[in-house]
Amino acid sequence: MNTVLEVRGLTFGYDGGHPCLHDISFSVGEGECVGLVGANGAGKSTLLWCLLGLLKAQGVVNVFGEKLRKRNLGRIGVVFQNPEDQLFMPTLLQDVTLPLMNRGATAEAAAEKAQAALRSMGLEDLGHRPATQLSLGERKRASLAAALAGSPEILFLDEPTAELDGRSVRQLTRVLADLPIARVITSHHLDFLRSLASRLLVLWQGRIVAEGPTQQILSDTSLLESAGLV
Amino acid sequence: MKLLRWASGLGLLVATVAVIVVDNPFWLVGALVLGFALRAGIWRNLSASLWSALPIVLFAVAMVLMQWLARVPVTSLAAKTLAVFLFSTAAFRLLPWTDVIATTRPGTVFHGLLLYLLFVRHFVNILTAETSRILQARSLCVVRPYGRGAFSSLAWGLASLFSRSLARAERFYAAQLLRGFAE
Repeated sequence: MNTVLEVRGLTFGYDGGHPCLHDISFSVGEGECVGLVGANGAGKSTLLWCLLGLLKAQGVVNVFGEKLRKRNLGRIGVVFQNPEDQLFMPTLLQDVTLPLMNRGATAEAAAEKAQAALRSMGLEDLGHRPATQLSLGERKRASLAAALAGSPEILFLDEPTAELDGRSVRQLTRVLADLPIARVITSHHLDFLRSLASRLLVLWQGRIVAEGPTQQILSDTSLLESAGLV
Repeated sequence: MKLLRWASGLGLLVATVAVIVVDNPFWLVGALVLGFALRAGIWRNLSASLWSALPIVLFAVAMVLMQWLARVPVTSLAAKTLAVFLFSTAAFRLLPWTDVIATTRPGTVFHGLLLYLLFVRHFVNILTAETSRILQARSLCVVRPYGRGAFSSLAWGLASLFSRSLARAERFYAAQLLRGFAE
C-alpha cells in the first residue's frame, strides 16, 4: 500500500509556547480510513490544522511524498467542523462549482462534476438554494460534496458528526464508507469511527498514547477511560 | 426582471456619485427622502429598514455636532454621507451581482472583485449572527436595562465579539485557502 500521508516528529505549541502536540508520528496508506480520537482539548483539531499546513509545526508532514504546497492542494479535500466556514455562495451549486472553475475547469465540466457530487450526497434537488436555508445535516453533506467534487486523493474531516442527529450520522457514515480514497477523520464519536475507520490513533494531552486496529482500541476500556473517551 | 434590477442598480450607483458633487440643500434633502423611501421599499419593512440605518444616522449627527462644537461652518458632509450610504446599500441590494460571478472568468479583476464582495458579505453575515447571539445571551442574564452589570456585560459582550469574529474569520480564510482561492 502506498503512503499518502506521512507525519514524523510533529511538535507544535501556540505562539511558540509550551507544546500542545508532542512528537506525533504516523502514516496513512492509499484508500485507508484512519480515525484520530481524543477527548475535548486533546489536540485533534490542532493536529489537523498542522497536517494541512495552516499552523506551522516542527517535524515532517509529507502528503504524496512531499510537503503540502499550493500546487498539490487540489489533491486533498477538507471538511471543516462548521460548514459555514466553507459555503458562502448564493447557491449550493455555485459553492461546489466555483473552486473547480478557479482551478481551471470549464463552466460545463465544473457544473457536471458538481451535479454528480451533489447527487452522490442526495442533494441534487437543493443545488439552487443557498447553504443558509439547509439543515445542519444537509450543510455537512454539502461541504463534503464540495470537497469531493475536486476528486481528492485524500480527505480530511474535522469532527464531521458534531451536532448531527442519529439519522444524519447514519447518512454520513454510508457516504464516507463507500469512498475509495484515504480518509483522516478526527472525532470522539466512537460508534461512528467503529463503522468507518480501519485504524485508530488515540490522542491524549497532545501525544499519541495508542495506535492500532479499531476493534482492538475500542475494546480496551481502560485505555478509553484514561484518554477521557468514555 | 433581471434587466430592471440591473438598470435600477446602476442608476442608483450613478446617483451615489451624483450626490457627492451636488451642493444644493434642496437636492440633498430630496435625495435623503428618496433614499429612505427606497430603503423602506426594498427592505419591505419600514421599522427594520430605519433601525438598521440608525448607526450611520448617529454617525452623521455626531459629525454635525462636532462641527458645531468646534465652531466651524456646518457643511453638507453629514447629509452626503447619509445619502451615499442609502443609495449604495440599495444598489448593492438590487444589483444581481451574485449571479454574475459564475459567468466571469477566474483570474480576472472583475471576478476577483466579485469574490471579494461575496467574502465581505459572508463576513458581515457572520458578524451579524455573532452579535445577535451575544445580545441574546446577555438578555438572558441582564433583565433590567440599567441594573447591576448592564453596561459592563455589554462592554464584555462587544469585546468578545471581536475575538469570536476573528476566530471565525480565521477559519473561513483557512477553508477558502484550502479550496484553492489563493492559488
